[in-house]
Amino acid sequence: MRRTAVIGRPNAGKTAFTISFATYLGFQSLRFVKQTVEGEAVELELSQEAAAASLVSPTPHKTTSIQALELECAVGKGKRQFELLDTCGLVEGIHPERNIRLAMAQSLQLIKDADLVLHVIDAAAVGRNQDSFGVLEEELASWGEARGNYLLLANKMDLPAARAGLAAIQSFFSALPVIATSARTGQGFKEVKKYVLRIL
Amino acid sequence: MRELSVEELLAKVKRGELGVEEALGQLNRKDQTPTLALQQAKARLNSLVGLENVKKLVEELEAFIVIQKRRQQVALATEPLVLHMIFSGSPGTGKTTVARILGELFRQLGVLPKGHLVEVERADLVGEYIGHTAQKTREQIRRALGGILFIDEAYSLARGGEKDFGKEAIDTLVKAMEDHKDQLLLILAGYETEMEGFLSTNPGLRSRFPIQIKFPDYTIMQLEAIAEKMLSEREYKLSKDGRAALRRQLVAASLSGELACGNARLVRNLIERAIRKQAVRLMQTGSSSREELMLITAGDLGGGEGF
Ligand SMILES: Nc1nc2c(ncn2[C@@H]2O[C@H](COP(=O)(O)OP(=O)(O)O)[C@@H](O)[C@H]2O)c(=O)[nH]1
Ligand SMILES: [Mg+2]
Repeated sequence: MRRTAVIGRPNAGKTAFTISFATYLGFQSLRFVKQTVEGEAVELELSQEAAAASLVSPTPHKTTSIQALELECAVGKGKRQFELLDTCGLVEGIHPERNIRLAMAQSLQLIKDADLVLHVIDAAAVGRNQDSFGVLEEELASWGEARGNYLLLANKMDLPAARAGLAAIQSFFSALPVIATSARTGQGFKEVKKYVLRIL
Repeated sequence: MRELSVEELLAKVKRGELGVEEALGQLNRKDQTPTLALQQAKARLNSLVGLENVKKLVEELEAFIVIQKRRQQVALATEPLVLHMIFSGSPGTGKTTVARILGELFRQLGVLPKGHLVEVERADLVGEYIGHTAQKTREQIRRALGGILFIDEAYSLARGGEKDFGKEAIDTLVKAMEDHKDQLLLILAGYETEMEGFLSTNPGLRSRFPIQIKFPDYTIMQLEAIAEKMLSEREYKLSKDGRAALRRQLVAASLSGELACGNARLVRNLIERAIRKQAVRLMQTGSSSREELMLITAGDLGGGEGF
């Protein structure tokens, strides 16, 4: 199955995006397969509300394992299946918690192996602080340019500060495609779907 | 500094020796040109403890291959590249490890298209009725095409004498060596004396395997170095008395002759048992500081039950 990895810094809205995007594609209940860093696979079936309530969190590093969702999209008369993989947020430096280091290594592996990477950025945070890009973004940008099939999602566009953030993202990642999204309102989802279907 | 593989980079991230952005940076700057991959394979070979003769021979082979290629480019006569090998040495002396690295090396040098290793023994090649053996052997050859077919204890193919199906396997292999000249590299491995016996009763074979490499038993010092390497890869380390206990164990195993039959494999068993014993000890004492979680002591290594 083709794999789409959702990556980015903690709190960018990766989990929120994953859940709302699945809902947008028409999934009422979501069957997550968590791939823990110990290599176990744990299944977990949640309604969209329950998933949002238990998995989305304002505290960073809520997601410490890969959470895979098997999704399908109607394409013409047929269906296209793919996997959407929510990952542990990436931060610079050496994280003191081993669990998070393992999970970030897992995310890195996916960035390398996935068929498509969706890099979620909190556009509102960028808008509030124009210096919020670091070495991590530089390296991800050059990785994305070299590998292709790398899409940036400027997320949280429902917040006022996000406008300025979107512009900053577009100019920083000038060689990569950017779609403005909001996991809260569903803004940009149609374009994301089109992009995903074009590649997968 | 030598370049790290993706696995090594990720392992470093996990161990907390490398930040995510640094790992990504190295991935970004990782040049996937064959020469770098070649250097990596050679670096892996050179990081093996001991095996100096193997390292030197590989150096020579590489030079030979490169020069033959250059000669070919300027239309000079070239020597045929026949790289089938005999590896003789006890179990645990690094034969399989070296074979695997050679596969990668030869792939990078353009000698083998794939360079993977297929490891087989008598039971994988020899069947139970007429025709079965040729079929089984051909199946293994098919799997190995493009890489290396590594036959452990190859002399066991000659075990049963004239009527044994082992002979059919040997004939099938010899034919495959002709039919798939550029696609297959054969390595026959096993104990030195048995191998000598095998080759002297099959003189036709010896000439087909121009490269013969001896894998000597490791010295106690080398085994200690191997033990430390294995431990540090697993994020453990020896305490001072642990080191002394390890040496005592190795000396005892050497005197009893056990060491010569297991070499690095024995060391691995020893280490793995010590890791289990350390876990039991820490559960009992209830202590688990980072340092204690890493340390392997004499007690963990001792126990007097041998290997
Ligand atoms: N306003 C707004 N908040 C969002 C949006 N997406 C996520 N959030 C909030 O951002 C925080 C982090 O979200 P989460 O999905 O857990 O981030 P992750 O760490 O990247 O998985 C939560 O408090 C979410 O409610 C969005 O599009 N708009
Ligand atoms: Mg998350």
